[in-house]
Amino acid sequence: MNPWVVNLRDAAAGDATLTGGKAARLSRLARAGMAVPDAFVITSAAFSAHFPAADPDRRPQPPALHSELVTATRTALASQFPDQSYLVVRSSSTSEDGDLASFAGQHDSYYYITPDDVPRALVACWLSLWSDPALSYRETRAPASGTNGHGAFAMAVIVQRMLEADRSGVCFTSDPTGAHADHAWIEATWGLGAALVDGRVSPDRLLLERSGVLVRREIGRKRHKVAAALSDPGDLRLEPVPAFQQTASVLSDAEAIDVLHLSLEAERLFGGPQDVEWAFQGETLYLLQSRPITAVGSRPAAQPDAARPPGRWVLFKPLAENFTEPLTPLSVDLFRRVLPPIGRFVDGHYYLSLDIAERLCPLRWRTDELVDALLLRGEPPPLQPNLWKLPLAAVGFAALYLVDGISWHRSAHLTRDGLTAYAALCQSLKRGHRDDVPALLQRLVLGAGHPFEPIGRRAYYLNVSAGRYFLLLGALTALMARYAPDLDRRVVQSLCSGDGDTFSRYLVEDIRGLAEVARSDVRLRHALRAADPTTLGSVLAELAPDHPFTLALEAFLGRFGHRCSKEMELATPRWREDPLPVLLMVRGYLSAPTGRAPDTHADTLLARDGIRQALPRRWQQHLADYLIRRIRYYVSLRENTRHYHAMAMDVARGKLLELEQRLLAARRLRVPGDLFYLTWDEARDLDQGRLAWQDVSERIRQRRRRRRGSTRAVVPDTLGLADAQGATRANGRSEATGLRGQCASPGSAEGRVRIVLDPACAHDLEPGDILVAPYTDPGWTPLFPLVGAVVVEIGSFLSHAGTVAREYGIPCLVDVTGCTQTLREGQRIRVFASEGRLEICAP
Amino acid sequence: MIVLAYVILLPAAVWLLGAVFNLLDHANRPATLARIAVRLLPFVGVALLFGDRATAPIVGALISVLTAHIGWSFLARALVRSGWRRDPGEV
Repeated sequence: MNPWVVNLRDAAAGDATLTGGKAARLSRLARAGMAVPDAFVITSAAFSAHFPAADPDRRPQPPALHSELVTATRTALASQFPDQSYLVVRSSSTSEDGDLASFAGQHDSYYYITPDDVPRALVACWLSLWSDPALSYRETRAPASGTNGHGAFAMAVIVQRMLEADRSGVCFTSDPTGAHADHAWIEATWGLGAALVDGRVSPDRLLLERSGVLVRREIGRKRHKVAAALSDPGDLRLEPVPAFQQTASVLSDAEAIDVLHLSLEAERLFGGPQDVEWAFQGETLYLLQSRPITAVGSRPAAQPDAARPPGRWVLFKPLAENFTEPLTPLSVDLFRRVLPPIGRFVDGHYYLSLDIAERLCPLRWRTDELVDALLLRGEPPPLQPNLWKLPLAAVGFAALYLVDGISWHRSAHLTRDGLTAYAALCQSLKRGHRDDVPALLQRLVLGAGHPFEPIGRRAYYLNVSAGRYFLLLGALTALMARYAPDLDRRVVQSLCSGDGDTFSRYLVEDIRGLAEVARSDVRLRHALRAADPTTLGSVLAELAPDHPFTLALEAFLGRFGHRCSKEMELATPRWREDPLPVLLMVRGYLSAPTGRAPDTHADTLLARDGIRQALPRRWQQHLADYLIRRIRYYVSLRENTRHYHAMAMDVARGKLLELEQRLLAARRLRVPGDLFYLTWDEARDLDQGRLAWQDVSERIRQRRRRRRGSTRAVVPDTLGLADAQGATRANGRSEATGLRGQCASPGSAEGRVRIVLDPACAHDLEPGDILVAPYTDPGWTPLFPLVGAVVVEIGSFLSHAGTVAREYGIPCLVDVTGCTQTLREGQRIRVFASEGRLEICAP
Repeated sequence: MIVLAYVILLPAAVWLLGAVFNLLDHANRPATLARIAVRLLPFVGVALLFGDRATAPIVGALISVLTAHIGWSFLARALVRSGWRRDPGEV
């Protein structure tokens, strides 16, 4: 062969300086006898001949290919792929897949390339060395590798047989998060792996012991796949996955173990943990790529430090505890238009400016104490005023009271119907023709129009102002500590559930009602119980339109159809669009004992009497009564406003879906869901023809990849702080047999761990199980009455998990860092919520 | 003294107008009227203390608070809508 073209199985292909990191590793794997698709490599020598004076910082013009290279490539194509219709042309940079910097996804690869198109794809691969993402990556990551990416600036290109893969994915032979020593993760999806790498699907995730024991299987909703068969060569190849396959498991247990064994072979060959790409074509398992894991033992930071904003930032807990995943770019772009300028989004998470908070705080708190207070961790430090700042703060507070105190007082005495005006406003905006989503959100979030409209039209304001119950709770606690120091503090906490008149309670009652309707029809009951998540939809389709269950479900969706899990994320389908999560919850209730939810009212009365008896004076009793009434009112108000927030999100999503339909019909967008990876201005420009699909497709792909990376990364509590200034009371592992957290609802319970990452997948919870979750939001509420206790990775006393758990009288431990990673499915644990800890009883 | 009365009546005006505005909301009407009656007491007290001279601080406090409230509600919205401090790097 020509020195510019070598067969992947030749020994020469193992030289990384000649064939690049990816090709060299593939060559070693192929020569070791592993199933690697046939390929040849156009070497870095060919690159150097075409770019003799390549400047890493200046993108060159596309070169004309030398005739020798064209001839050699044709010869290789004819000899290796005489009958092959499609090929993959993959970049293999000489600085790629190193131990410190993988350059994963920074250079281009092209699929469905015909032999005639190989030269064009070859040039495109070469030029991807100068793409914006590659340049940025070299600047931020490559210095760590000691090459700055420039020391070995060349690219080889792999021309490989394209598999018609029906299933594919990646395998990390060591847990890249570091949470599970001696474990491997497999991610799997339907079709080709490009959809997974580009972040277009939520794959299945399997945790396995390296010995081959399957520990956990998390089923993802795989709405799209990259089809193995190509229907339209000019299209994106992304096609919808049939409903019955979306939540079906991609790999059987045996297949998962085959993938693991193949990946461990690669690990043995390279002598370190590997990130392996694999694919099944029929029953044959192929290895497509193996690169070292660059960050074992420490989950990657969400963003390189160099790309972080200047200044010091603290995660905004009230939003983060309802939603731990990063928001999509469009959601970020819309929300930042309505949020106050004391914070900013970083990697899809909202952070408060610590610099501003420190300037405004009139207390003598150290930075770490202020950080802990902003993160709502534990008891706040003593309230020692800063005498220099106090007068300024007093003036500021007085000014704020004068300008906005009227709204503050208006929110103190509303009936539950007070927010129906907001529902009416949402309905009218939804039906209206106005499709300027930022303006709609500003109207719904910042106020309807003028201050003389009902305060109920300002649901967000009410939510924020209802947070004052925390101050009242502090006052009640102080009163008890002063005049009844012997009274158990848990009695006070148990009074802090709402007054029962909350939508989350009605939501649970309605799901319970749906289950009762299903229970009364024997055939339906058996069908729901027997169906797996993939066939539940067909059970519903078989019912007559006037079947009581169909009617009850329609009524439920009329009331709660705008709700879902991850409500703040505009890309999330609402229950009205996809009622499968509701059906799964109904199925969960079919297995639960019948009857109404436990009534905690009697407990509340007992606690109230306890407080009255402990206080010696009548005025103290009256004051305590007043505080308790107010606390319960504000807790309910805060919880109910969430129901209306979701309506605003629903209005915005409805308008965005209309826009997306228009763009898809005009072929300015090609894939449902891509709209959420644009900014609003880009979407509008696309709609008005100022941008075309070609202008945004690469942006979308890069943002999807970046978001996928952020989803897997640890969300830092703080940014820009030295370790010594950071939060000091991080929870999580405390000892070998337990974890620590914060009490959000007192009590204790023992049960079996059920790790739930998506409420739609929690269909086999049993009474007494301990729900372990990364976060909860209103979409999770129906799970609470089914379980004995709740343990949540992020949260505070104010969070949704705590509020609902107190409502149902079940223990709840929040802010248990890493609990979903550390605890194991089925493990028995004891939760001592009042003491802020849990114990692992048995594996 | 008149100035002092005005300053004292400013928070009282916020307190009172909060209840008055509640008449526009879905709030319990009789309870709202009772609250208004209670919150009028500081104004009645000032009127009893100062007689005719109380008109200026009472009217002044009410108009000041009302103007500040309406002005702020528009200013705050305009500030956020203007997009100041918005960084393109957030997306």
